[in-house]
Amino acid sequence: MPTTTTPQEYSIGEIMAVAIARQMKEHDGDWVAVGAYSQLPAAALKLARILYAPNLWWLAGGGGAINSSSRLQTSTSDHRVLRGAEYVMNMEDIVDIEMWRHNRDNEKIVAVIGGIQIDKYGSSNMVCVGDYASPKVRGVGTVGLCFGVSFGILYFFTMHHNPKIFVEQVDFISSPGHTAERKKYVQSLCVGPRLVYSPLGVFDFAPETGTMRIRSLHPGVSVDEVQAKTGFEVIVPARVALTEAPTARELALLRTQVDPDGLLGTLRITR
Amino acid sequence: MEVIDTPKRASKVGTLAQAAALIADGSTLAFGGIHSHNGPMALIREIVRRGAKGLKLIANVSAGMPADLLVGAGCVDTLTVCYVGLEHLGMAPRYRKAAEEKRIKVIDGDEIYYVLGLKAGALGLPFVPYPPGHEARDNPKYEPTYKRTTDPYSGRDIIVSPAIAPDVGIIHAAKCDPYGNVVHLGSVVADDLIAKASRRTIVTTEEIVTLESIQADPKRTSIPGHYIDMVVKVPYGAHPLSCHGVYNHDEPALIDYRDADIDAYLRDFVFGPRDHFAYLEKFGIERLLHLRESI
Repeated sequence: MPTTTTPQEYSIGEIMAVAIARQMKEHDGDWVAVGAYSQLPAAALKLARILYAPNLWWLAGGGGAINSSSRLQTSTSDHRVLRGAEYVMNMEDIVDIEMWRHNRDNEKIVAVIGGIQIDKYGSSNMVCVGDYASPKVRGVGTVGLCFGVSFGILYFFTMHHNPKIFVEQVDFISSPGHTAERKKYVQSLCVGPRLVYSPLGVFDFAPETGTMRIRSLHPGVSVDEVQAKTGFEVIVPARVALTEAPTARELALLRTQVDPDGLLGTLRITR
Repeated sequence: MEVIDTPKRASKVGTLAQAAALIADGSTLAFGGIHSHNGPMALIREIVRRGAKGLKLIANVSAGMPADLLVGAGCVDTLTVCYVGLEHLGMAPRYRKAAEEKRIKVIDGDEIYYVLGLKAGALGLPFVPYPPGHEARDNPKYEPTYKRTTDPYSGRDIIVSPAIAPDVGIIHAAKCDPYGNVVHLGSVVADDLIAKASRRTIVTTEEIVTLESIQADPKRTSIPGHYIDMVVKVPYGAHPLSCHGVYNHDEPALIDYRDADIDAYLRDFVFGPRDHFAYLEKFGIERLLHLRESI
């Protein structure tokens, strides 16, 4: 089996899932939550437990499955996700672990989340587009993003990269990014947004400004394309890395063990 | 030998009509399940059929069609939101429209507001105090039911949100005995908290099982019967949502609902069918049994 792959051989969803899975090496032994409509991070965490982080604990959304090893499902709270899990949390269990663990190292409680808007500081919005009192779009609600002030580390994933999602400033802060108010009010153990995975690349936050910076771009993506599709000025590092392509081994495991039904390929991911 | 006459334990079994009659206009109603799973849909259709008005609806932690249908049918006055949407199927269209047109009052909660609010409601605690940090997000700034108070121990200014004590809670589960002992065959989510926090709780269930089957494995009981006021047998009572452990959600039916004209939908699927079985007949035995595949 060849070990290198070309962009023709994998989907955007697959390169994103593999990138998140590799990042989970840092979280071997930690506890990671995903929410609803989260096939992409769910696939990543399943792959991570097989290849990179066998001691990772993960929660499949409000259905409560811990360490689900079922084939990937469309809805994270589908009862088929419960198969091969080790425990099923109810909502009290979930709040107990996500709200605040003052007796543990908080960096070990991690979430991979999204938003209808994400701004340059990594604040995320699920509530409204436009003025809160008279919104252009009424969103679904803050749901578990209230734990953005108590999770140790936040990762973001988006299935689209455009100026409507990546905005200068969110219209409503469901979960605060690297804002002045986070510095003022939130425990320093909760470091907030670490990385953003989009269909164009992987982004981090420059320590000096707390704003989004290119970490790597997926094959075939240019800095100009990212800038044109982002609603604020993205920080461009001196050297722009290329997101490492999935290996044949990663793709084989993803397609045969994690997602044999090929759901990742059916996601509406747009560049 | 002398026969000793002992009193008989009272059954809590009722009908959908009796259950819906417990939900008075203007009352606070909570429902169980999550997303497209375990919602008490047959009872919700019955509530719509009865023409309930002015409900203060406490949407479940991640609510989809149950909240959207009650809003679309004009039954809801105030909606407490943690999440209302259709997950991978997109936005919940009637909720979105009603909120944008300000035809309903939205209370912008979240998981803490909802879960610990119910916990406080269950225990009679006056409110939920928040640890530091939540000042950095917008729900406590924009949603007026969050308040500030002084922590009498530290003297610090803290955020609080209200206790949630619904008048009626309605949940759906795979099994229940006549005395209200509930068995979930999948996620409980917050159904247990709803039962503890609500003044009255109604369970709709796929099947009513014997007390003996509950006693054979009491560790499987997910909610003890003393919290339950009425048990209604409704096979496929969560359709088109799933009932965990019994059948999958009917995704094409959910998409049809999402895309339908709400008045046509209500006519065809809520007011039209004379009862729950007539509703099920619109889908047919073959399709309904197929939903049990891969369980």
